[in-house]
Amino acid sequence: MKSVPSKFLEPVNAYLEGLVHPLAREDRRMLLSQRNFIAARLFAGIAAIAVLPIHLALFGAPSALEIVGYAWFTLPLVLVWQLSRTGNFERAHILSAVIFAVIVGVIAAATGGGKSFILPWLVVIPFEPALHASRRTALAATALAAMTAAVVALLDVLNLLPEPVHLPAAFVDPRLFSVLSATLYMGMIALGAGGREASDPVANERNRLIAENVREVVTCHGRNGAVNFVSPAAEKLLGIPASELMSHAFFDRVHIADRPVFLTAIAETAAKGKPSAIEYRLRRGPLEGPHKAAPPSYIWVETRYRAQGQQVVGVTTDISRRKSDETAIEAAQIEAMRANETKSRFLATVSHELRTPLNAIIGFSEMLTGEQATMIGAEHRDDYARLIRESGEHLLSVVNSILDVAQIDTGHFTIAPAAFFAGEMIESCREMMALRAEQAGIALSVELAPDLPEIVADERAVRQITLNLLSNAIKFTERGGTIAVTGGMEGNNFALTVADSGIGISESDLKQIGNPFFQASSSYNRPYEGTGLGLSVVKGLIDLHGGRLRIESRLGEGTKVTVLLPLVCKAMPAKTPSKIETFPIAFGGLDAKSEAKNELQRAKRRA
Amino acid sequence: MPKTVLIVEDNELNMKLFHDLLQANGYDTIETRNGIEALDLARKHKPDLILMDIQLPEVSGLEVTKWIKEDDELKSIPVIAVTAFAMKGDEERIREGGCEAYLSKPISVAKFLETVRHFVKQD
Repeated sequence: MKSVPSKFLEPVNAYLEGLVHPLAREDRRMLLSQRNFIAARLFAGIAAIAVLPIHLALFGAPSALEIVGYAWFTLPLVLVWQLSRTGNFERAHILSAVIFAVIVGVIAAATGGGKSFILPWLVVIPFEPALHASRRTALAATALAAMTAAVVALLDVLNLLPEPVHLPAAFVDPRLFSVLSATLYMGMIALGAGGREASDPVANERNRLIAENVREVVTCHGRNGAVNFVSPAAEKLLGIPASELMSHAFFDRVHIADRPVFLTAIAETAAKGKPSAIEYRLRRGPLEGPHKAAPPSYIWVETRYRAQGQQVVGVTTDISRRKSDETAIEAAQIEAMRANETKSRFLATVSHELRTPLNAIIGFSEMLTGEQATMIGAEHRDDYARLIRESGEHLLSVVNSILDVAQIDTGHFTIAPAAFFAGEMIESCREMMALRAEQAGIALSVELAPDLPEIVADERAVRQITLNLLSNAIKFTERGGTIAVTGGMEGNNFALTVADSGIGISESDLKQIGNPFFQASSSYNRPYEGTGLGLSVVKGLIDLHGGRLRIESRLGEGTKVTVLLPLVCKAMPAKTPSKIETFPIAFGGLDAKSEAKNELQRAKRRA
Repeated sequence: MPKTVLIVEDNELNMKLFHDLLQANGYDTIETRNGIEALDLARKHKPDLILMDIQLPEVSGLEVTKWIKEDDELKSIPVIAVTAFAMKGDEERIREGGCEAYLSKPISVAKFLETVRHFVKQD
């Protein structure tokens, strides 16, 4: 689609484009504007120098005034040199306007002031900046043109102008010629400016295609991160027009936590010229709008930065999907690891808990039957048989707990609520545990509210809950300690509390409590026998009743466990998930009364 | 003079089992269910052998073994770990902790006595 003249002009254009500052070359429009600007000034300057020999030949050595005139006409060459070096197009336009205004002004002054034929050329001065440079430049050029006209007119009115130079007679009126030539010149400038957009629909179509289909957003940043260009794809990425991302508006959308990374990447790329890439969050959608209350939504993006001259070019890609995949995978991995760890710990603990009673069972049996048998007196035989039975029963209780937990966990455990007196049940549990508490040197007290009503729940389950809690309290309370059981009402719920003056639970262990086999402290250091299954069963049974479990504890100060059950429990669907409410706080310890009782107990034991 | 074995075991039934087995085979025994007390008793009685449970109240048997092996007076006393920790890797870890031998629960009476004899030669 290249015409013959444009083919002919190609090397010239290439040379001219070479003169354009590297920064301006990035933008095709800017490149063409500056190229045309340079071309016009080069032509003017070279023409002035070319005319000089003719002048010398025709008129001899020029006067001082004429030399100044020639020098002035060559000034555009200086302008070209400046622009080519700095790329400052605005300054070049203003300087060009000054040079041009002075030329027009001087010619006007010499050719009749207000009546001079050259005055229409003043209009040309603001025209070029208006088309190619900023509004500011255009305004400055307009002011300059108006000022020149005003100065000429003023000098004319004050009669300060020299006699008009006599012009040789011409075929056309000089004024008409001036107007025509100025119009022609302006037309050429206009063509040079707007031609590209209007005349190349193919390029336009391509630009539109790229803007609509390329997901990457291209941005140009100054050293401080300020944006001076955003490609249209930004609208798709962030849901707002690219124009709303200019200057510091882009930075304002970077997530606060990611801002240091963002600025560092740009500054380093600008300073060292090395490419960099960062992942950060950008805010999507309008900053303020009808949904002001809605939390800001952020997307994860990746930007690769590259230095380009004085600025940094960024290419930004949406990576939110990859990020969310990564997060999901990470969470799944952690979950799997945790599950695996729990399983390993479960197996290790089951193994340990089964082996301990089995050791007594197998060991004593061997003593009764093996080669040791002959060495054992008859008085020991009954004893050993009893110990084997005891160990067997303990083993059975461990197996039952494991099954309970498994059943509750898989939803095969059902409760049968019926009315019963909780007070009686608690009292009978106390009787069952009294001997163990006494052997452990622990004072066990029960306090029941006088107006305790009948409750509807699964009595067997509530009994198991109570026994497990009591058993735990005894296990984790040292000799000389106290355990206080209370039954009463808390709001509309039946509340059973078991408070001990035992070792307590640390804040970090409180979070894990109730996991099957979790006993505070891990593995080899587990100081207390037991599976940790007891509380897990308690929690499961409470869940089946639609109740709640609350644990208040502080390490070294004791533990208070509160079971809250609705007065009328309905069997809840299996696997209703609930959390144990844990509070790492001292619950006020046991009151002075129980402390006194405790002291009494100790005294008794010493006696 | 009979040899003395210190038994460190927090489970009463297992304590009785080890005690009776050793007594029946002519050993004297000292007993404790507490690791810290075990160290004091070892210093006081200088037993010929220590049977060490690993899961103990307050401090683990591994920890107590470490203390014993760091004590110039006590480190020559052999320590046999007798424990229900019998998962893969437990034996290595426990031997690395300084125990001379490892027996997993449930024990075999014959192996138990053989191991004790290996470390304590009767006069």
